[in-house]
Amino acid sequence: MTHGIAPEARLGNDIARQFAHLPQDEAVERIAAHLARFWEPRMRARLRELVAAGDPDVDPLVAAAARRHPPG
Amino acid sequence: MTTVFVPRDAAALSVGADDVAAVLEAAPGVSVVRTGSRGLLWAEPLVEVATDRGRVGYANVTAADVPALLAGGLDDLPERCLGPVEEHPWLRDQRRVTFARVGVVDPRSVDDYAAHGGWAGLRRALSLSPEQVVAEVVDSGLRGRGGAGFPTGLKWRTVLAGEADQKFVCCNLDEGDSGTFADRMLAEGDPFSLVEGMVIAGYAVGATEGYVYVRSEYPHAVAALRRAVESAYTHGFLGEDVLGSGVRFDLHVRVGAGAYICGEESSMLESLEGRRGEVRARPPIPAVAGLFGRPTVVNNALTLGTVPMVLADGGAAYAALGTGRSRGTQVFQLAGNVRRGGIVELPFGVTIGDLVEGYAGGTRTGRPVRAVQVGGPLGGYLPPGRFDLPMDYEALAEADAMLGHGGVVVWDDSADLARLARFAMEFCAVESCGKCTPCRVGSVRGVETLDRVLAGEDVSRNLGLLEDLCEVMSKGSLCAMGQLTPMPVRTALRHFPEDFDRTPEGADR
Amino acid sequence: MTTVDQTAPAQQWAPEPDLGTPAVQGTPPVRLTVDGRDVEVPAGTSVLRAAALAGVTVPKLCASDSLKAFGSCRMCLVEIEGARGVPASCTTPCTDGMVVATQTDQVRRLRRQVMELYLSDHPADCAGCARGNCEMQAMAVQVGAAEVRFGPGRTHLDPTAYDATNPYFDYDPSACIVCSRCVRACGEIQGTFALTVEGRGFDSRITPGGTDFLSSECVSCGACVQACPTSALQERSVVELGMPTRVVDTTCAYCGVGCSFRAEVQGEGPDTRVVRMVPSKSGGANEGHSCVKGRFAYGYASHADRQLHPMVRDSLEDPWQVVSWTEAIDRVAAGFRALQAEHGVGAIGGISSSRCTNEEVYVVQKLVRAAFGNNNVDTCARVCHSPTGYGLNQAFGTSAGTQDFASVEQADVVLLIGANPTDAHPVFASRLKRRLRTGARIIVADPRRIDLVHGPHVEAAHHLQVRPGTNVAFVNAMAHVVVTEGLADERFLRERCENVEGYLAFISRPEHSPEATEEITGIPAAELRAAARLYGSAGNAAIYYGLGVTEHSQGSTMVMGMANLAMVTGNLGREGVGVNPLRGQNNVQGSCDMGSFPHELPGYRHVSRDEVRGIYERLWGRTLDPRPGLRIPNMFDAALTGTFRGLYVQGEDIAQSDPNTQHVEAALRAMDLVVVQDLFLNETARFAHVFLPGTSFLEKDGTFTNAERRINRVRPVFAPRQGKDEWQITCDIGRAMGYDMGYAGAHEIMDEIAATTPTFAGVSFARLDAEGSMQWPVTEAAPHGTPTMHVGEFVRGKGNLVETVYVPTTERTTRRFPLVLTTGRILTQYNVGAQTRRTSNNTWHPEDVLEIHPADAEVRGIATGDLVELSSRVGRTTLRAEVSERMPAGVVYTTFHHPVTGANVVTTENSDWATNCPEYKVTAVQVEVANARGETDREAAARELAGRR
Repeated sequence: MTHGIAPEARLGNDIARQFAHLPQDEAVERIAAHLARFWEPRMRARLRELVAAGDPDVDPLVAAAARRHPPG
Repeated sequence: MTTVFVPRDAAALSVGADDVAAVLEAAPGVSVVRTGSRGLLWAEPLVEVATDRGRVGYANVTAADVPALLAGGLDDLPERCLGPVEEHPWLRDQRRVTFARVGVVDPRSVDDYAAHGGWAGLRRALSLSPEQVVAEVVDSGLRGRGGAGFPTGLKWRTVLAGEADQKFVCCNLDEGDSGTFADRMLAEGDPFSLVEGMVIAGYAVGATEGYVYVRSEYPHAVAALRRAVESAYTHGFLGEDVLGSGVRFDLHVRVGAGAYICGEESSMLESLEGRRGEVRARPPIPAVAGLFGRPTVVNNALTLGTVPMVLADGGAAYAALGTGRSRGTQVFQLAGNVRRGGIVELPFGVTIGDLVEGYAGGTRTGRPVRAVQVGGPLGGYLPPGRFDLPMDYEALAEADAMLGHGGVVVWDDSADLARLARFAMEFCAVESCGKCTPCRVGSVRGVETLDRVLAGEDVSRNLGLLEDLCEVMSKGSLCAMGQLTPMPVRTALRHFPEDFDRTPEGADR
Repeated sequence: MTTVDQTAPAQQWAPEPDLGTPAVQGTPPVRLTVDGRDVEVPAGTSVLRAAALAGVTVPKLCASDSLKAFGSCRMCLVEIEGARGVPASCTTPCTDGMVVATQTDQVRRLRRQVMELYLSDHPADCAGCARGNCEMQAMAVQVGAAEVRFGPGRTHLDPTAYDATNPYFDYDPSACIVCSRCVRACGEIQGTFALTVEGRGFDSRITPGGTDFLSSECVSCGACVQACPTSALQERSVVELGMPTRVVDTTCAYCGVGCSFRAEVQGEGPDTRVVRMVPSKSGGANEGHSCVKGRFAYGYASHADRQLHPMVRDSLEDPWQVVSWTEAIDRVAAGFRALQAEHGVGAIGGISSSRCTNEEVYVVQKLVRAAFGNNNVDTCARVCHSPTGYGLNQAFGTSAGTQDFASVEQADVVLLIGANPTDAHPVFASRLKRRLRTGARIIVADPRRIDLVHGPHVEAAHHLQVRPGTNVAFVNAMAHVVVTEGLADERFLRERCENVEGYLAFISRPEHSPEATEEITGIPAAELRAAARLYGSAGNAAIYYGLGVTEHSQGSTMVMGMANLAMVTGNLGREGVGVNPLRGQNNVQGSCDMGSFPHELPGYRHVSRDEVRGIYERLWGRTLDPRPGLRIPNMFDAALTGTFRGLYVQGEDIAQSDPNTQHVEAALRAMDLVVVQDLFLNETARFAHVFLPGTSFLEKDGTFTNAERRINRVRPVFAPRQGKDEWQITCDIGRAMGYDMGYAGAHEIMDEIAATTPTFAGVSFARLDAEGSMQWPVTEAAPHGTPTMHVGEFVRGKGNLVETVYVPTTERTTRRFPLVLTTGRILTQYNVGAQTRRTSNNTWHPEDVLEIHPADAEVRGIATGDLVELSSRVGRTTLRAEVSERMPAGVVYTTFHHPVTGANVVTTENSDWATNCPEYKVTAVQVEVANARGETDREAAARELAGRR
């Protein structure tokens, strides 16, 4: 159904593409802010799990954003 | 080389002018010029030969007559050879202003038009301010020739004063009144005069676009106008920069779809806008909100065709003609049961009798004249006892008749005025646009009521009902069509009451 | 609780007053006397209207204050001192000092004579006259025309000419008086020009273009029926039921235009029957107009499929068991509590419906936040206009359109993007077309040649056939032209916007030029430049848009892109301009306003804001979660991983309307407790364990908020058929879960909304009843509401110019799926069709069809009428093809009104990056000739039949 990609990776990558034109630091900041503002905690947790597990589907910018903010 | 003039006018064509022209064109040493018609319709095809005495006219020429004509064989037949045409009394005594060039010039030749005084009015207009042009037209006393007789200059002044992104000039050439044909003959015989008149009007009021609305029954007029418009563009009389003056005027020819009511100006505008030909309520008048809601000059063809002369010779010259508040000339059209039908242009003030007994020469049947109807099918019927009436807007209105578009239709003593009254209602029933109730339903009830009168059913009661119908139609109708239909009915009743005194069929009188 | 006592006070039926001609505005006043009464009116007002305002009734038949004066019936003749004759008062403008007499012997006689003419061609046994709804009959009595003195003559009394082809109204030419009110209504009000007068004189007859009504261009809006003064055009329901006896003012439950209606009814209590719905002239959104849905398609409310009893079942394989309300509610409460106990507080959630009232929606989010204790609440706006909420909030600081509908009457150029108003928002479309007929220009950006590209008296200045999925590139190119060609409003940018330098530098880059984007968007550069110049140099330019903007993976970016375009041209903060979403559902604006999003409390305030949560925590007595909850698609994902187990769905059919049906169905199947509250056993109910019957709009007491932020009252015509208000159902669930909201009526809910939400501060049922309607914000500063937003200053202070980078969708055409499928709406059906399919609207659109370009059809051997198989990466379905040049080559189009079509079987789970609004508008597909309906279709058909039982 999800073409093998975890939903959180797919949705995160969609966000990352919108900010990819920015300098990396700013992009990561904006992605992290978006995740904090709109993502339910268990989605953020799942994303962090994917990142921790080194899921190759997760865009590096998303991975960086996921690492930046504390769980919450 | 002999130059021979053969009319191309539709009336002449209908009696074989093309055949005559074809034979002449094949004759050696003959140069044929096709013109409009001089308006001596009783003499058509009227062929004119250029001589040192002027243009000598030959009446009722057939193709078979041509060899004789060229050989001088008709010269001694007084019925056939009219002599120099312009000296013929029928024409000599007229005062041709609007029709000055009709039958004289080649309507396809812009040079011929110029050689006969064309474009002088436009050139003078362009040397004046728009306000001055309007003032000339006001001073001329020119009134709308379509029938209502509204002062043209005042109409133009209203349009000039209107503020709009676009204004229009529309020429009403939807000549639908029975017994009228002057618009057609002008368009066929001198189309440049209309073009010139419309450009002057456009300049005077600030309109840059014009439309000529021609009835579909006038294919020759349509062709003549289209050709003239094209030629005027080619020669710089139309387009972005008229005669280098910087004035813009574009002109389009539009063809109607067979509705009498589209001769009513607001219906004509509806039709021009691509809609069903239906009368608009007023206000607003077209001069304020006309075509596409913009200030619009709507004038009859005869009005616009007269404008070049008014500008060329000055308003005062035109105003010097005529009588009372009817200034200038009127192009009368003699038709019906007449010996000599055609165009008679004269200053206002000529009597009905002069036209009917004089120019028309009485009836073709030779019987006494019983009635004339002036001003089209909605005009009043008049008996010979009123032939002293001068042709004058106000004088006719006072006699419950109207000048209208200048048509004069004659009946001899076999006419049944009750049937003619019925015809008026029937005409209205057939041609009503159907918008307002008094006209839409009233005319049908009028026909039915008159049928009962004709059948002798309960005559006085039905005549009472008829008078009620006449009242509601004349007062309640939206436009002149329904308002005027009672005029022939009522004048027939007034002047010819005996015709309505019917006895039931089968009963003894 | 029953609601009989809530029913609006009985208002006796009477025709809406008609002043004869439309109001004139903005002219200096003139004074005149009418029959000795002084009256002051704006110059240009008709004598007829002035007389009516003076309390003098002048007879009239062709005149109506909804139509321009026409002057045909000649009943309103009057005498005016100093004027010739007897002018028609409808077409005569008042002048100062005018002295009018309306009752002289002469005009009375003339009116009698005119009426006698009418009666001479009118049936003696006219059904309309007998029914008592014939203005002519009333007028005949008024003018004292008793007899017809004419003998037998021509008439149009021909019973064989009766036209009953339209399912909703009949045309009886025998009763027609050729006043042209219908023709004028069709043109002036509706803008369809389907009717005309054929023939002339006495033979003039009204005709729908020389054919019958059903075969004609008629869109069945009913304006002609409403305009008809006799029974020549008559609602079938009136023919069958007779005249109404009383009136209830309410609001339409279809699209986001939010038309005001008079529900004209008969009977009392449970016997109440709707005779007809008549749009209210005083309705702010519709001003007396309606469409075929609002006026006629209300029969679903009493359809046999309507469920009137709560039902439960243990498993999806079990048959439904009818139970009491108490048992059903207890089962829901116990089930939800058990799931939370076992799987955590976040294991359940709710979805509110944009078809429910503000009050009903408010209590759903309150239930989730206060009783469930989480933020797992979302609304069907998720799948339509959530990017509007996000984008406009980012740009301007508020999640709503900037104008009222009337604003379009001041627009000089309209840029219409991804919306098809003549089908989806017909009443707004009529208003727009009216403005186009008086000179405004329209630019249509849409892959499909919609009716506003070319139609009666409508010709788009530019049709930009933007390739689906490339909107952002298109709008950036528009802004690029404006900025690089010197058309930007420097002063507006300087004074009202922020991030100006950065944005101007960004948008000026050559990659945004029309020449550079032409290959992406498919829009010829010269055409786009011309369109941008037209928009950029207009006095007032307004953007209107629909789901063709939002339902994309860059929907939110596109909304911000349009906001940028409006800001760089200074087209905000006054009438005639703005950025305006055309909302899909009647209360989609309201459901968003009411805090239905998982990250926002009512009034678009983020859940993380302590001071806002504090307001509710104090009032509700519960601690609220400061973290956002799950969105609808997230709920599905979470269901499939087992962390989300229970769902309360109010009136939304997610199984049919949400994308990638297989995924949705799997998620629903994975849940332990699905509670569906709806009128019908919809597609989603196939996966439900508890069914709670809902109410139709005819039973609701509350408010709807339309696309122009207009809060309209919805008033019950009769008590809830299933015995319970919908807000009460929600409250009952809360109470059963231990949380009592304790409202005595819907008005108390609105009072709570007003008390807690600044933009609703001045709203109450009483104020709405007094004002008719109000547009939020309704505050102390704007006590009557706010038609135009952002005047002088944006809600967020400065307008935010966002650098809108174009990021292509990941959904690409390939050799296997070479075509792009895009979806839309059709006039007679509404959304998933649950309502309209249960009405005679099916006459016009009995099935969804696939529009395909002739070139694409030819290579596939497809002809109109063929069954074709439509397949995408995620699914396949079968439907009928219609070869049409409305679509460009390479793009196919369908609607999703019928479950059997299963259009969402093929749509993907791609979504807007910011809001997860599904990308319905772009799916790579293949189309092939099919020999029979596919398996999925048969399944769906069987399901539908089973659902109807």
